[in-house]
Amino acid sequence: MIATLIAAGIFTLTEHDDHRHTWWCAFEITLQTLLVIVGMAFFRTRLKLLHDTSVVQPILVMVVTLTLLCEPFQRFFLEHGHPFEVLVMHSQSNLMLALAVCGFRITFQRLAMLIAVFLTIFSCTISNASGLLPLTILFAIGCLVWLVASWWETVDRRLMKNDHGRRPLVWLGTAVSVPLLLMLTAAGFGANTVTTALKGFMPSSGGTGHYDPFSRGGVNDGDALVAGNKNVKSFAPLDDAPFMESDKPSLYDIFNDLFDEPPKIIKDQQRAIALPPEQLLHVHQKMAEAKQAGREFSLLRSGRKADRQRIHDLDTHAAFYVAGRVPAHFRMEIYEHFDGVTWYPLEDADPHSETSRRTTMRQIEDRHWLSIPLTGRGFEMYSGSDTHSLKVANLQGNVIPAPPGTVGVSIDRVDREDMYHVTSDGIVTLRRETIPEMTPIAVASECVLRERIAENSLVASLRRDATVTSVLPEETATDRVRQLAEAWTSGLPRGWPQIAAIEARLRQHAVVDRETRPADDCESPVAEFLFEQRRGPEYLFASSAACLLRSLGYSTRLISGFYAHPHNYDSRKQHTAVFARDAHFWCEVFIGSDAWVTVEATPGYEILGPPPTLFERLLHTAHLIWLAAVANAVPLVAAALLTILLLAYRRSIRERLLTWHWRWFQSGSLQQRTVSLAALVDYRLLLAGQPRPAGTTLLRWSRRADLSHVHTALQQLANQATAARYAPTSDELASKTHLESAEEGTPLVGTEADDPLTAPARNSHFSTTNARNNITTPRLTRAIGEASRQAKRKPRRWLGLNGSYDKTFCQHDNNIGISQTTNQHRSADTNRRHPSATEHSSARQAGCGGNGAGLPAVTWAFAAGRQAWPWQDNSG
Amino acid sequence: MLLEDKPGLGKTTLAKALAAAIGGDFARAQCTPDLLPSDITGFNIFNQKTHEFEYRRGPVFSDVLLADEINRATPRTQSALLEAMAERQVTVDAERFELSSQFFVIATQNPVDQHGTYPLPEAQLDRFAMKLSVGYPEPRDELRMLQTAIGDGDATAEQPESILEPGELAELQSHVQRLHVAEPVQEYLVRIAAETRKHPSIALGLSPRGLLTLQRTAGSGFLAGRSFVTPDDVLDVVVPVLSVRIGLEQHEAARVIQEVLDAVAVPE
Repeated sequence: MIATLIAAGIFTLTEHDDHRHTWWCAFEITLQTLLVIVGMAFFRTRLKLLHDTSVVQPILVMVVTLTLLCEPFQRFFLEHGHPFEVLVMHSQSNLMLALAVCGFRITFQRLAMLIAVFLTIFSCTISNASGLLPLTILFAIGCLVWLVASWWETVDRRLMKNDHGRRPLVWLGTAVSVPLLLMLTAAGFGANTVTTALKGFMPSSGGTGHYDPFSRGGVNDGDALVAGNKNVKSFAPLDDAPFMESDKPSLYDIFNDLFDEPPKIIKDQQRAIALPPEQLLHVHQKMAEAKQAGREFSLLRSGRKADRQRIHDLDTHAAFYVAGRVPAHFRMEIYEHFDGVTWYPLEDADPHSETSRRTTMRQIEDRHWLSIPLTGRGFEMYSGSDTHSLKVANLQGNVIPAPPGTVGVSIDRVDREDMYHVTSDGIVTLRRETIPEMTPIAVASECVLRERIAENSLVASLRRDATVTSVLPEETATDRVRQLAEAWTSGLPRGWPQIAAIEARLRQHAVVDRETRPADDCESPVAEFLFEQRRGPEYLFASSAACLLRSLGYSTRLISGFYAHPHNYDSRKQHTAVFARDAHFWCEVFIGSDAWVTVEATPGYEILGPPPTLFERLLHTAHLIWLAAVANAVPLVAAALLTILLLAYRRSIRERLLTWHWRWFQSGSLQQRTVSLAALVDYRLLLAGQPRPAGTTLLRWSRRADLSHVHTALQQLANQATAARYAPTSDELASKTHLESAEEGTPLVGTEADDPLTAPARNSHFSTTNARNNITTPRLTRAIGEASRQAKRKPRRWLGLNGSYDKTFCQHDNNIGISQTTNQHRSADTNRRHPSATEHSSARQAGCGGNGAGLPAVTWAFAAGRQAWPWQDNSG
Repeated sequence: MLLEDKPGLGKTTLAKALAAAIGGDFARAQCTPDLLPSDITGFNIFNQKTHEFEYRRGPVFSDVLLADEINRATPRTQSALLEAMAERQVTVDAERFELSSQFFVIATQNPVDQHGTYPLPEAQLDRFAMKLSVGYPEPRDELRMLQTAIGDGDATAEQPESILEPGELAELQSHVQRLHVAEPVQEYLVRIAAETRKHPSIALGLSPRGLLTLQRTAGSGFLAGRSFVTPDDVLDVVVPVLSVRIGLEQHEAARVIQEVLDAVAVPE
């Protein structure tokens, strides 16, 4: 158990190697351990259950299939998947733990250890997670101890010769079916991961040339790019990407005094973070750059052939990529002063000005975060925080795109506060001229819960001192704007209700149209947009909202930035691309206590709500499942009905199938068919709820009171099957006769004549003219009858051979019934009327090879010469 | 054959009837603590006339020997039967005497009396083919018994009719020995034997000699007119054959044997 737990732990570590979910990993290992211990405790008191295949087998099958079945759900609903080989290994790991739980049976224990060894080798091959080495050593020790202990435990059994349990049919079946199954799988699905895995036996993602969206290794495969640590050939925006000599602008500076090529002179030397030279990776070739967060496909194909030897840069048109929840607004610039036509940003150029926020550096789990104080905490409007990971591709300037309510910014290895500057408006910039390309930046922000603002009557209730943010340019249109705003907010109290009303009305008032632009000589584009065009780009919506709110006395400002559109979210890459065309404008309204709240007046653009709780997520997943179910209602209902019907009638169906199989697909001799018929009836007894115990025979079981109505038929069948099964074959008879004659040294002919049991073909002769054998006197017949009566036996046991019956066995009311042919009834009648003539009639029918319908079942024994009654004569 | 039951159930009557029906010589030895081995096997006696020792045959020189209340005989006397039962011969004063080829022993014993009895040793029990108990008759049969007994002082005086000619029993026995026993049935027998050796309640499992006896007695299928042995035949005889060997009380033995049989699957 310990060894398997260690193996499972090793595998879990490997699985989480890439993701750094330390807590989840620890939780998983703890859960595994707990489950195994609970399972062991359960089975410890119920050892008998383990020897019941019907209990253990479903558990094991369930463990394996559940693991595999979870994956489609995970991929479909949670949009998160495992590579193929990890998935298979995961199911193996679970199977191993289940086997370890059932480890009181030595075979299970062995299988569990086998899987454990395989799993450990697999894990060590694909991963170099920390902590793997000591665990592997522990595992090796555990294996050794297990080997020694299990050898000692079974040493006494080894001393005994064990030669039962050879089941050639099972082995043959396995040997044929397993390769067949593999071939079918491979052939049925063409070139896919399974076939690739089968080809190479050991599944792998990467390097095979086939595409797997969830593979995590290899350069040519998969969307989820993974940092390479050795033999790096490309460079991508990743946190743990290696540092390389490059002449491009970099955030990092590495001093290198090795005797090497002359250091490359970086063209554009700016402020950078110093790193020790050990972290530098020497690459003496041109590196390819992957600016994309994944792989993209352009319809504009170049005609030239691809150069497979060299890896090309993966360029992108995106400004940056976002990993995290969308839709999201990313603020870049803030405009406060408006002259009616143009918005002007507020000057906050001086990095050392007093207006900048007081920031601190904090270290959280190996990352250095710039902590930015949050404004407006007094309104208690924040609910939950979000983290976005940005991968900058083509972004000019030094402003870090950050959502409203940003509370932290982190760039790998940038641990100095003076690298950043945060303005009083919360815009974060790097103290450089540009952000280098392919820099991953993590941004944390607090989410505003609008319902809480709506509940708060203090929000924006006070007029702010007249500043640039509340000033409207004095124009003719100003009054119309104010009238419109008052009309939209009539009857509403001052504060958030008015703001929300303006936002909502404006979204309905006009249509987004990026092509419509105000004329160059337009005096008031806002008035023209509001009262005449009623269509235009987002900046007009934002400006109109700002003006309408200002006309009511609120302080507003215009924000420009990017809008990470959910349409651009790629579920496989798990990134949202933000392009230049996603540049967006919106406005913010001052609600007091230094807090500004986003107002999104453009229809079609949403504000990111707080992260959903677990319950909301479950609800959402359930909703998705419901939608999918509704979309596929017909096949699902059909499948459900079919399943219910199959479950309800499973016994009848199985019984019917078996009967058909027996009737149409049974070949072989009559004896074999009889034996298989008995097996079938046996099985049908089981289905009818009267299973025959293993320790009793069909004949005995047929004597039960509740089977009395089919007793005769069952007895007949049991007798015939017994005869077919245990009567000597002609070969055995011949060899027996030969042996005996050889032993006795008498001629073969004489022996045959003397011994009725070894005179197969001479039945008629024997029974008619056996004058010299005085055993077959009437006297002996009487003696046998006497003796058998004394033994309280059924005196006419062999009469079953006399009857014949239709091969069709019908089941009426869940009971086994055998529809007998008239021949059988006639024969039974005869027996009743003339009890003394029974033997003789039996002998007669036997002697002449039987007559009437259903003869084969009756006469085979005699035709083959297996039955011979020593006391028969033809006096009857 | 060992008949074990309470007194007065007709053990001796049955044994005598059986012996008479089979035919052949019948001898009876009433076992008591003072019965000597020579009373069973016979002894040499000095003939005054010829001045020679003459061998005088004991009851063992018969076709059927009824050893009544065998557990009352001393172990020494019981042991005298060992050789006769196993090898159908006796040795007296270093001289070997062959017994009848169809010699067999019907012994009765009373499980109630414990005073002055000597339980049969396992070695001797193993030489019996089977142990049967007679049991109380049905009320209807008892009524008939009473009716026939009126006015008839000694019901046992009626001699049962012999139904076998001399030699017929041997003939029948030779047929039974030649019955065909299929391999699955033999495997079944072996598995039953193995199970008795594993069962926690059974101190002494079925010996190989017992296994041979089980196969031989399973030839009872011959009575049903078959030339081969089936698992049903085995099940028919397994209780009496096993109960004489596993050394348990009668009711306990039945339960344990049923457990053994339940644990062993009959061949399909």
